[in-house]
Amino acid sequence: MRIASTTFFTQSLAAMQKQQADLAYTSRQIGANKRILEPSDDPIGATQALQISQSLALQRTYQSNQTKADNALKLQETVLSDISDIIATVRNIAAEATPTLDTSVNSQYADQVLGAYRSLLADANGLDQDGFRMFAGFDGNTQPFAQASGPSVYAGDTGQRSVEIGPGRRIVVNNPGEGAGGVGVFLNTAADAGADFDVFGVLDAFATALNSGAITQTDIDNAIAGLNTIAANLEQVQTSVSTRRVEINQAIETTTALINQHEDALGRIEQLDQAEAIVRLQVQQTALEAAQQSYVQVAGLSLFNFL
Amino acid sequence: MASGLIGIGITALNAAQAGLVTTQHNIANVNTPGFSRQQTVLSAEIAQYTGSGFFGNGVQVESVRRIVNQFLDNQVVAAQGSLSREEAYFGMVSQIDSLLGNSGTGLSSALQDFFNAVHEVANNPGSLVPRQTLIAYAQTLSSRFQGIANQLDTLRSGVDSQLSGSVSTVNNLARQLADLNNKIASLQGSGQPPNDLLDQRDELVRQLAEEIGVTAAPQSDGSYNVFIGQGQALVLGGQSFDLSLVSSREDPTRSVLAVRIGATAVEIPETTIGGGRIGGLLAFRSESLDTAQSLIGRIAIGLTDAFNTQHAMGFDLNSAAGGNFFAPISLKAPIANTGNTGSGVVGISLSGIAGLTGSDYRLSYDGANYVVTRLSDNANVYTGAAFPAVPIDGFNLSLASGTINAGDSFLIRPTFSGAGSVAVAISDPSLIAAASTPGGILDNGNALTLASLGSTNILSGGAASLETAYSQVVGQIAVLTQRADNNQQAESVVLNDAIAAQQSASGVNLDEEAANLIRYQQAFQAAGKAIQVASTLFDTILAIGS
Repeated sequence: MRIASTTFFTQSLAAMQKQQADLAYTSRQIGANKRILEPSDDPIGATQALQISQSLALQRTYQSNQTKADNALKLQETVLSDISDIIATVRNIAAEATPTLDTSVNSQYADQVLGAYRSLLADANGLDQDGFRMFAGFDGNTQPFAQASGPSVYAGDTGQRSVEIGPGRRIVVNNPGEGAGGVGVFLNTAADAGADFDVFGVLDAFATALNSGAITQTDIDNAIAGLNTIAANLEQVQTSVSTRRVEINQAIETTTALINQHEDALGRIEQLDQAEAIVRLQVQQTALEAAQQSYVQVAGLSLFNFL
Repeated sequence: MASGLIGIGITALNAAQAGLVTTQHNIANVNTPGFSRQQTVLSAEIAQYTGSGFFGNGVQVESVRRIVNQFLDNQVVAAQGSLSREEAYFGMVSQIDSLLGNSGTGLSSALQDFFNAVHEVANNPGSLVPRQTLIAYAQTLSSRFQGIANQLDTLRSGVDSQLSGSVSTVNNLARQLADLNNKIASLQGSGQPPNDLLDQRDELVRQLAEEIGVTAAPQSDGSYNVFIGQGQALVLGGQSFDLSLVSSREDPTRSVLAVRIGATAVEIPETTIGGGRIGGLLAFRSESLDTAQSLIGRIAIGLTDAFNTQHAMGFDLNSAAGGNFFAPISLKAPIANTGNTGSGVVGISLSGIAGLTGSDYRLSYDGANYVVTRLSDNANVYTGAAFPAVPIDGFNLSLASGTINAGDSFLIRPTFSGAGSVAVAISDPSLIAAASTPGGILDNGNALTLASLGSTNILSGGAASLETAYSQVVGQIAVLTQRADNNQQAESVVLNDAIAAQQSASGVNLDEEAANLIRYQQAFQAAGKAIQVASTLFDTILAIGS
């Protein structure tokens, strides 16, 4: 075949340009440690990677929500256990108090009950990790139990807030001061479902009776009955909180597993096989050098050199 | 007629000289684009009859011809047109590919951050910090939308400026070609081919093919008629027709190609322009750029509408019902064809984001029926004697004013301007309506629903979430980019091969020319020697008498 002189040059040039482009691409891949530099390098892979990273971002959101929800419930668990201890102390006092005891002994008991009242009030008006009233329902900026003594004067609402810990899975992270049995912590009125109770009302009535000097067995029985209802309710609330924490922990395991899977899948799609890339780089380098060598050799050939 | 020893010697000297001149010319033009190597055509002079037979009279130079293969030339022109088209297409579409794929400019991470921030508000609805953060991420998201819209606008004006550059190149080449046609036709009458002009003319056709798909039809007088599109004449003999960019009748904001015939500019339908840079740019604009812009616009409208609707159902920290979180985006107003004879102005409103497709539509009236055609698949989505009053693919049309005459049409691009219109409407964090009932600062009921919008399938008739819709756009553009890249690599191989084959016939080989130099030099020397011998013979005769 006849070959035009310019063809030598244009063909060799095209070959060198192609080799250089390949070499540049590989070295960009190595520099970025990515197999896919632009979506068009692998449209299917890039779309998959995008979808996986979207899903990954959502799982990470769930993961942070789970931690947040668990922290909120853990704090409540501590406070509820404190409340439960206080109620148990008062129950012991009620068990020991009798109408026949010396007035001074009963008034000492009364002081202890009033101390419990104040501790409970402090707990009931306590703050959550974000600085809002823990037992005020949605009304987080309002002190829920405003009374200094006497029965509950509840200023919060019965709102319950959820955190999304998985697709469509929401966990309630607060218990209001007032609410139906198993939900409300301190107060349950006729407006709410379940047996009525009022923690502060019971403690106040009991302390008043102990201080009166004329406490009756009925007063003591009423106190015990009230405290029992309260303790039973508290136990329900505590069980509900710990059940929720178990649920969160299960969700944490699922989410962690999913995140690992997604990260693996993303790595397989996006990440560069370094060893393969370096070998490829060397092969391309050799090819470029060969193209350059052959250009130099061919360019020097001319019959004119021999005339 | 030369005769005798000296006469024959002189014809031989002339022939050798002609060969040397042609060889020199070939060597001189080894790097001239479009040059075809030339050869002298020699033949024996008519012999002289004598009783003892025919005695030769030497050699004559008949012509100088260029070595061309029309078939191979046509292949180069065709391959050049295809390559230029794919290069122009790839050069543009690869920019959208990087824009959407890059995590710093794409929407994906901004959408994720935004919805993550909504979750944070749900987790701590009473505090201003996560609310402030949400507004900041909403602003980032809106500036991403704006950034993409700006970038697409830049590409659009890039298409326009490249088109106008190409159009003036085409006009310039077409004029030169018409001039050459004239010269060639007049020289052709001399009986000898004007080789170098023919080469220049062929090279002009090749350069034209770089800009626009052309077909050249050789005429009997040696000139070429050149056509573009579906037989639209660009050059007829010595006359050329100027191309220009004019406002499209369908959409006056869009420049389209037109050819000037007499005083009127006639629009050339885009789909008929196949190759060249112009073909690539036009295909890129309608196939990739418009699609990307409308699909991103659909995501923008979907996000703002869904978020605002849900936001309005909640209550803010002041116990007031939620206002607009994003500035509401209206669908792009339908564009009346500039050729409409009626005064009708068509309005458009959103009927539901799930129905939006991202396609363009055309409303036309033929005097009997209104027809709405979805341009992505040419399906008629409405046909009826009455103006369409039912929702079509997520939008409602209305006759805002005037009347529509038979033959009138309107171009509808509902989501086209969506991406550039995204803006956050609130700056006061307490106005975020996180609560589902008024009053409770820790009520996050509405925030939870807002947060779940990120993974809810609110688009494509309930088949795609915002993020899925986005990854679909990225995938679609990636496939178009990959196709253009593969095509340009393939076409570049085709062109190189075609050029190599064409050059193998027509190109100059310096070694061959070096050999020819020696050949003609030797022929010249031999002819000179023959004349010397003739002169010696003559001297011999003269010496007899002395």
